[in-house]
Amino acid sequence: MSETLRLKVCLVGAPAVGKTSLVRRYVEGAFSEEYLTTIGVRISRKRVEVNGEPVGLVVWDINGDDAFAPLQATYLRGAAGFLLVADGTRPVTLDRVLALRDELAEAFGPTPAVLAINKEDLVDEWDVEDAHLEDLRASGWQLWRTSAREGTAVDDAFQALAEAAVATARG
Amino acid sequence: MASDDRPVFTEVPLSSGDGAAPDPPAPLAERPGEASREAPDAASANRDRQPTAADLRLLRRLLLGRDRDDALDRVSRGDLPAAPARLDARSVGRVLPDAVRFRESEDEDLGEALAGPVERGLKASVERNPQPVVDAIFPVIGPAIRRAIRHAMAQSLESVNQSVNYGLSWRGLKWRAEAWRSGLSFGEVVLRHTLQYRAEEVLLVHRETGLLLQHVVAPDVPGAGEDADLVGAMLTAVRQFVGDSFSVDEDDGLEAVEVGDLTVWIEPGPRAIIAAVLRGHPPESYRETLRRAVETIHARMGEALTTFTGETAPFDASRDVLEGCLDAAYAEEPRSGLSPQLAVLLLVLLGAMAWLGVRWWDGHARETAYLQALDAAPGLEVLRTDREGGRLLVVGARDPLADDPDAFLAAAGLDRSDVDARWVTAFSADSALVAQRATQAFRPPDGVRLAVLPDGTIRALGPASADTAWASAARDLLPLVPGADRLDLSGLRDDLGAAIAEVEALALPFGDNGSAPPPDALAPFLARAERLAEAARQHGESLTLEITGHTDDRGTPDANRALGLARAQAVARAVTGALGDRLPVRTLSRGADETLGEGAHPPSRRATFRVLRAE
Repeated sequence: MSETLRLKVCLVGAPAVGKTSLVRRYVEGAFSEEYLTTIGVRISRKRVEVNGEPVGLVVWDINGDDAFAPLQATYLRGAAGFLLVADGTRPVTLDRVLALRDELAEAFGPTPAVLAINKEDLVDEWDVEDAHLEDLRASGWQLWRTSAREGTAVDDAFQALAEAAVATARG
Repeated sequence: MASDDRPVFTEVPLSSGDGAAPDPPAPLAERPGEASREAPDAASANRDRQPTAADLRLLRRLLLGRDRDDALDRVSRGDLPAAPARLDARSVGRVLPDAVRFRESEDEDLGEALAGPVERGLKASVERNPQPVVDAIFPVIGPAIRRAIRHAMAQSLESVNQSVNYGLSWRGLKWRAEAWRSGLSFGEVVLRHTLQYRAEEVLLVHRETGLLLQHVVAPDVPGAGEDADLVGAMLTAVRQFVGDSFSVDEDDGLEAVEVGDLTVWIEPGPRAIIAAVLRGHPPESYRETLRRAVETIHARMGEALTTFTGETAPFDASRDVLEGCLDAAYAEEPRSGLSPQLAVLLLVLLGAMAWLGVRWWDGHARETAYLQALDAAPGLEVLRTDREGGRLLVVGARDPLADDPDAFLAAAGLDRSDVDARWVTAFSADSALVAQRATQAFRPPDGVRLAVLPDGTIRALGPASADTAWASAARDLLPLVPGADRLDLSGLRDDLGAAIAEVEALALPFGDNGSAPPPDALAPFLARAERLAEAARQHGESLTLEITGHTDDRGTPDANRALGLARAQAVARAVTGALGDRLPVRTLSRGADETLGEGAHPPSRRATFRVLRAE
């Protein structure tokens, strides 16, 4: 509570890509997950350091198929950054989240976003080609292959998002 | 103002040749004559010709070029820059205050431009000499500190007051019992009973992002404020959920949330909402308090709210407004002083304590009297006292000759049920009891008294003439009598006076007409005479026993006188026969001179005695 910079970040992505699992891996204080099904959002908190300065991240984990259903759009308002989550075993979720990125930019203006391709631990079922990811990186995406189950790169993805969001907030 | 406008106007006064007039030049249109004077060379050929309006227009176009219309507009508004002909300190100083005011009314750039220099200036000033700054801000800081101290003092006083008032009242005792039963703290129980409502926590939340901007917590609220940032975001999400679910404007949406004992009142503003976490039942007027707070915060920091990108520091300034919402009201004011019920209870307790005290003291006094009586009684020795089952336990030694200890109970106001007395038999060395014991054992004759000396000697006191046979038996019994070690008979002395009285008290009766004394009466008399002679010897006195004979009134006086003498002489012979010369005698006759009784012939035949002491 001592940090003077507080930022709202939102997790968006297709259902069952592991958004809630990522948050559960990451955060320290959270409301019960019951709320996720009741009102479609679960809020949690994490304190990070960016350039040696404490920053309070308030993480909105948004439920639902479509981030642009009217309700979900409301929850996205005022976000300082988006963590776009896709499932590495289902390439269609990556396509969906990339499309979402453009819709978000259109609705909320340029907002930092980081891409997390989750379920990295499911090596056998992994179905996203590395070349595709390299192309995305080359086009400016910050992306991470994460595993909520094993904790791989989860902190890194959130940290990268925090840093990008702070940079934007500070202008 | 575009920068390329300026050269056009600054040249006008310079070319006028009339010096650095600080005033703006008069509008050109009003000075046609000057325009002609200003171009003497160019117009020499036309010196005599008056310029036409077309000439002037041409001139203006030449001078002002494309900016002519704009320039005219400025001239008509008097919006002309001061001539910077001589930018000396004096002329700048002259216009500076107005310039500052002017710029301040236009926008906020001046403030921002000055912020850095003022900060640095203040810092330098404090470093050089802090006193002027201290003097300057003291009037502000002093009252603020005093107010903070007063606030803190008032709060702690209030809490002490409550503890004292409720702690000492009947209700306070009930609540203490309730706290004890329920496991809550006493303070919480008092709060539950007396609180109408209290705002425990007030949050200022950014409306769009749901981020917590600032929050304040009432003192002594356990666990409050820990998750305020989560609460702020969640409230926002819930408000948005409700607003979207019921298709209402958020401002008309959720106003209150009930969470267990707590109610959250939400007051929205355009950019931020205030959420107050309340315990109890706040009055509707509290809604107005929140509304005013929202308005104040928007008025004060509307800019910071509009441009908010996560930086919460600017909202520290909203703390005092939020603290103003930490309101509380009690359903009743704590009363001071003792409640009547408690006073009665205390009185009853005091009475009971006094009664118990008196009872204890009285019982104690009785027992003390009893024990003192036992101590004073010969032959009773109290060895130990204690209390057992509410009774006084007395353990002691009791001489068989001592008084019955139970006899002392009644005198002390006790009875057998109050005392458990356990006595062991022992022989007392108390002199009175040793004497009593010795008397029982030795059976000395009448008149002999036994006294006990500290060294255990039994001293016999009394007439030595008495029977002394007991003394030899006593010597044999002596070892069997506890406390008696020796027998001292030196105190047995005949008492002369007693012996004389004993003899003189006797009248020896005679039969009719006989002069011989009856033997059964003579023997006791002789024993007395013997004791008298012994006493006289012990006292070294020489005594004479005078024996007087008497008759009754029958017969002649002479005959009676002779008979009386014969009777005296008969007794004298018996005495002399028994005692020899140890007791000299003389005889007298009174005849019938001293008859006894009234009526005819009273029985007066007798001999009487008198002991005469030698001069």
